[in-house]
Amino acid sequence: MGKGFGFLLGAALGLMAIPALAGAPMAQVTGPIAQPDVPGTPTHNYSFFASNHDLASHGYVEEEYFIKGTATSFKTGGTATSDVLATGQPYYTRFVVRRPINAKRFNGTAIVEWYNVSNFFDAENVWFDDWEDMMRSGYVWVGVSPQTVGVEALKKWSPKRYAGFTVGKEVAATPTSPPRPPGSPDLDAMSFDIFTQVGYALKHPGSVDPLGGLRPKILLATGQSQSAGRLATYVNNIQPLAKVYDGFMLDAAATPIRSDLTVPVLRLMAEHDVVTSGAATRQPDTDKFRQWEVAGTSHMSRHVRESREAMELRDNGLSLEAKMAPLCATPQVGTRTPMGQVVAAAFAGLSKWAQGGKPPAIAPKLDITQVNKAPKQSVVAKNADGLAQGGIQLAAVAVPTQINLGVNAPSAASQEAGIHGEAIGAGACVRWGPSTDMTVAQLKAKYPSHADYVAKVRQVTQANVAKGFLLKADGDEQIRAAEMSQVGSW
Amino acid sequence: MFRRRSGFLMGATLALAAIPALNGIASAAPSVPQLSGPIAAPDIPGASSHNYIFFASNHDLATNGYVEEEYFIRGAASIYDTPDGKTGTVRQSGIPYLTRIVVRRPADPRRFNGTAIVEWDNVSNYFDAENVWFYDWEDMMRSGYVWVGVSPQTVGVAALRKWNARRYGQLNVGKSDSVGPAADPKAPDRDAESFDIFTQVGAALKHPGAVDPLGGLKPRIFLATGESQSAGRLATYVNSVHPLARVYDGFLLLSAGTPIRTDLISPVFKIMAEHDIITSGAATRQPDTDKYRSWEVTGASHVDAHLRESREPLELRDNVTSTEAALAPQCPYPQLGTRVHTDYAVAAAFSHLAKWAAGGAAPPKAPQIRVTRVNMAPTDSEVARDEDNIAVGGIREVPVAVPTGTNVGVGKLGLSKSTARGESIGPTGCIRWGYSADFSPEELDQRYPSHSIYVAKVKAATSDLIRKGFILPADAATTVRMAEESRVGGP
Repeated sequence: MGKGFGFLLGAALGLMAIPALAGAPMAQVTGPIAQPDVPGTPTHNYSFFASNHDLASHGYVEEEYFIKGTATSFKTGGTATSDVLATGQPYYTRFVVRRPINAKRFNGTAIVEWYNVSNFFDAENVWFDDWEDMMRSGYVWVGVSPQTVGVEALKKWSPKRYAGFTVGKEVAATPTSPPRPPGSPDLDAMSFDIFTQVGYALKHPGSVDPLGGLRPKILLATGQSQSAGRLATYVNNIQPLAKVYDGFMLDAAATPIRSDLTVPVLRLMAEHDVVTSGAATRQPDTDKFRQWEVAGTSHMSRHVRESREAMELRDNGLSLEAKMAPLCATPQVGTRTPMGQVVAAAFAGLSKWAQGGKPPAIAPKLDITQVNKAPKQSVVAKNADGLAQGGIQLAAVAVPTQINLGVNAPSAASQEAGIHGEAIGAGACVRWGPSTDMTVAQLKAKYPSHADYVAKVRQVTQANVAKGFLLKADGDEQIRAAEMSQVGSW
Repeated sequence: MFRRRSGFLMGATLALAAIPALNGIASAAPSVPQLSGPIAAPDIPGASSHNYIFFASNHDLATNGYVEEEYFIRGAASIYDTPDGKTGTVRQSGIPYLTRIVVRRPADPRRFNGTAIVEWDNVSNYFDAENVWFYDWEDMMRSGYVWVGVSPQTVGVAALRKWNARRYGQLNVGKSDSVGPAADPKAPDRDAESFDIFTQVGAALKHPGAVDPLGGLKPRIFLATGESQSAGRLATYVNSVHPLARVYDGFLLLSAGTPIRTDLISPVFKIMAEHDIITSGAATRQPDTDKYRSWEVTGASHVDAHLRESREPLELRDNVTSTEAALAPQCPYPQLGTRVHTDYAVAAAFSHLAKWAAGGAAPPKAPQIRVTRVNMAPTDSEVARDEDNIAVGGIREVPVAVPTGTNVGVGKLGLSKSTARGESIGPTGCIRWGYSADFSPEELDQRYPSHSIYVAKVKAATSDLIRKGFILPADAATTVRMAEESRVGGP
């Protein structure tokens, strides 16, 4: 905020740039890029992962834009503001906009997501967990492709549509690429500035207005996992220079965050994330930092899978999750604790906070009984059902009908065969915590009456709504689902 | 329907099944099928060792108050000659079989509504698929039905054996291990025992022995159902076998063009998707009678988006591939499967049929889709379409009556010439999936000047559907709620 028109000189370009800036053109946005093909057509002349939801009936439109410019690359790491490595490197990439058609529907907040590329394609994992509320509440959502792996995948998917894209060293990493040795130069060193420039272009549209005349009051940056890791770097090293984004929602990244923040950072951690790394990197909540930890949640949720798999099948012709699941110790992968609804509440809280309102509630932390440093897992206290204690306890965990555990593992057979593929394959099992149903007999023992069950769900859910860990609409829906269930009607 | 109850075993199936082979009724006893189970399913579904029920439900059955169990059934079956539209005759008896049934039922008898729906698993895709359940599972559990899936056909059983040789290796129906495309149409029916197996399952459910697959639930009504290929077999069953067997109290045939005999002894309810009328059913329409109803669902493809959403996670889990994902790119319009809620019509139809089969009133009659030119398959018949390309007439669920997109029952032939996996899932599959295309925001705005106008139209349409009996009140309420929560017509 408060950067307004002077931004180009005063901030991002300023620092990246003063040396290179002389005559550096502003990034050029083109679009919307025509999408003549019906999504799923093998000629692939539509935007990769075009939404399969009926956006029009939600009052939304989806458009893809290309952005071309020159970027600065930064020396990153640690929590201090960056130094410039190089400037003036050309880039050409895309962003996707999903926005209300009617300005009256817009709630004033644009959520700009850094695509996750852990699976070697662009995946808007935050959208996939939270798309229902993004449209219900009237956000603008923008997905940005700032990384080599994602862009190379786009070019391979549709060489014609995405011809000429470049965002860094054109090295197409694949699931079988050997890991790069520590200390190797960052292939995506330009990604941070690209992300800045997209934000700037949204705030200060030129002749092409990618938001169709909508004027966001605030821009929130977000990403999940790998992307949240990059955004943590952005927060630490770049944000003090760029000052384009008004707040950050980091979904699942343990990276330590600098303590002298200038804009609010809300970090959301799944049980998995705390157990596998985050317990060792917890930081105190401050007036600019919040950490919410959610019990009974894996790194990747069932809901993300359900939202994303249809796109994978349509655009990639296969489902990574379907291939991975049989390799895991518990093949019912992905918890069903509705993490996406906490994501929705986090954005609502962060939006107010970033506009100068009061910070979101401080959440109780997961009850960690032993802190270990990754790769050794920390230990979380569990109740008799095996469910994690502490943290944000949604009804799915506090009044359980399923067992949702944050961490899974490769099956014994997979371990014997040797674990392959950290990102995908059996190596990914750990991130897809298991979710199994209780039996009727277990439910009977736990819930002697339906009214009692519903009352418990209502109590827990209303408390979560009151704290701001859940939106009222989602809380009402949870209570309704409990009422409609047969739990306790024995 | 109760009249047959206790006398049934002697009077019907077994008598027929057994007399020729066993030289007299005195030795009928050995043909009583033997049930074993519930078969332990120690693996969590998805485990690669596959020691669980193929296509075990991925829904949280327990919170719906439901349990799922698998049983094996062993017996000796008769095979029939099944002349078109006429009662069959036993050709041979005493052919041993062993197959499986899957039961999904309320855990608590108080939740049971008294009707058991027995589904003939569809095998068109070379695996057992309970397509009617996939259409209608929400209401089956909401309304408290017992659902039983039966595997009476060679193709499905061979797929089970291949999927887990240890669990299913002993299963045996019919004569062939082939999982390939159907044999020459003139070849003998390799699933000739399937009809009697289906009868014997019904009898075993009605008259449980030491093993009670329904856990003590006592259905008042048994309805047989199947979709497409299975509905075709059930049509043969209705015409040729049911008059002899008399185990089932009513039939719901989803998507089968086969003509049905007119002198029915039990109610037969046929539901035809728009696709089915166009590709074959227009030429085989029959008048509604006191024992026959036909409903035609406008805008519906043969297999639809909801079926895909219900089935695909199981295909991915148990087969690791999705037939639909493989098919879609071959189709000229790759957004496969219409979204007109045929499932709501199916749920309403079961509700009517259960009452009808118990001696209650016949279901309401439905207007037919307006066919402008009848052709014999394989030439498509022609139907009248409105300016949105939506067919005229028929049962008009809300997505057709108050549209936010176009749904067309028949897709275009696929682009690929590949027939690697035959008729069912090769490019001709595109025809059966129809397509669905959303209106643009501009089109929606033009059509619905305000949100309240849109919601009012949806309310009026659902009220009309409730009044006519084409939707259950719970589904109507969901429909209205979805409309209210949408942004159609509004800012």
